Amino acid sequence: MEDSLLPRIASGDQSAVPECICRYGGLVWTLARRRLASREDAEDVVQEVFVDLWRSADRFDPQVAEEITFVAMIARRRVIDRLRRGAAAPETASIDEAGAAAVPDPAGARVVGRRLEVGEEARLADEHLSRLKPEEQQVLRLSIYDSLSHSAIAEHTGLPLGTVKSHIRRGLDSLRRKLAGRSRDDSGAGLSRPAAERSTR
Amino acid sequence: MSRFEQERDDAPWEQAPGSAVSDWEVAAAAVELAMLSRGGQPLPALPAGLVERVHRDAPAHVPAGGRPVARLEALRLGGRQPGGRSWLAAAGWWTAACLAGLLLWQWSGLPRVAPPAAEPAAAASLAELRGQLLAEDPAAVTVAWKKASEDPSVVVGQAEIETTGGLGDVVWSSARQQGFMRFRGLAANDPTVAQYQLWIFDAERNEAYPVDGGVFDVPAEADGDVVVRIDPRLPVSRATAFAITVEQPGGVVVSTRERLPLLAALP
Repeated sequence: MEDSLLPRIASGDQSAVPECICRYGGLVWTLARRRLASREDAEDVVQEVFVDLWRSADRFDPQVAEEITFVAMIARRRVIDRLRRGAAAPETASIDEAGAAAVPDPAGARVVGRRLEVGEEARLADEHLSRLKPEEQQVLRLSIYDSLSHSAIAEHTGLPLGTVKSHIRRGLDSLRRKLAGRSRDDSGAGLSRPAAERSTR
Repeated sequence: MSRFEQERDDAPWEQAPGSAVSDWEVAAAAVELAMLSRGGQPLPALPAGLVERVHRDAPAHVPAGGRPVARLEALRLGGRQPGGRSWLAAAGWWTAACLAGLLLWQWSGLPRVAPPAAEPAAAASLAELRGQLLAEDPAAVTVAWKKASEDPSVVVGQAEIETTGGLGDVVWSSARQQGFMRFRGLAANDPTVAQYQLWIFDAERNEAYPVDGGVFDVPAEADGDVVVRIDPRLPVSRATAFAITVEQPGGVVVSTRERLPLLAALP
């Protein structure tokens, strides 16, 4: 596991900024781009996410979440907020639209992409998912990964709305308890979940 | 309030920016990371212009104090910071490559795309794993890709490729729920614009909703066969066909199948 960067940023170590952009830029860009049909919206969201990270770096607590999970969580918030403000479910642009919306980078320059190196929390989540029934996995994926509304999931899967809601809540509830238990085990002293509720600006 | 908003209010794992962090959100983020990592493909890079903007925003929000030097120009490859530590030496290989890429781009103004150093080894490893799967599971099936349309994703000259060695193939082990795709002549894609997505048709599922096999990229620097691991999101009971579509970055939930360059149907 790589060293955490947010505590360095919180302490005013500005040299950690480009490292943070390099480490998490691809992840944040992926989370934004895969849900937002407009490339401009995705770019705005990426900027907002990094501003949130700089501002809330001192609120990152490794006992509550791993750094990569914290970054993904901040990114999810901004993307969901953008979707809410649009008051519409995520769009799935055709490939031609996506291509037309693409803004060429200066001189076509790009920074190299990287493989996603997830932490222990994502590995636990993966294990947890693999133990769910296929139907439950699908519903959780459509909700968390694809950001479909409950009604859209019900329509897509043919499941009753109540079943969709309970699959999502049950699936996530058991995972969050597992993750919270792991935090308690790691800390040895026990992590009070209310203590984990720290606001981010 | 829209229906979308009302539904989201029922979801404690989807909070607005500035809210208290809840363990529901941590769990949801972990699920998203787990699903993202299942494809095993490189993440699209942050466009360089956007890197610049993000970097430009930072000084106004990062607290003052601690180590100075926020400027990219100061992060010389192998150079040392005032604290005596080389950040590039301390960072992982990828971060070092990324920072070096930023430097080269800033200094020269020329396009720089540093190839991922681990790619050749990873490609060789996937080819070996493919051979291993074939050797260890006699029931694994191999089916050749066929051109499904005149899509430009299959490069010009594919007819010749088809004649001489085919467009590649799919190896699938139902018992292990694993497989590998091999491609020849599939055009390189820019992952910030579009990605290839695999779909697996299952005899026991509605044909309208094939199993999402994840997204993948064909790098421009690829030479020879491109091998991609198949990692279906859901169990596949009895695969009947594999299809490749071209989709927006990250893929889609339901494909319109407007761009479907390759198809491999089991007999």
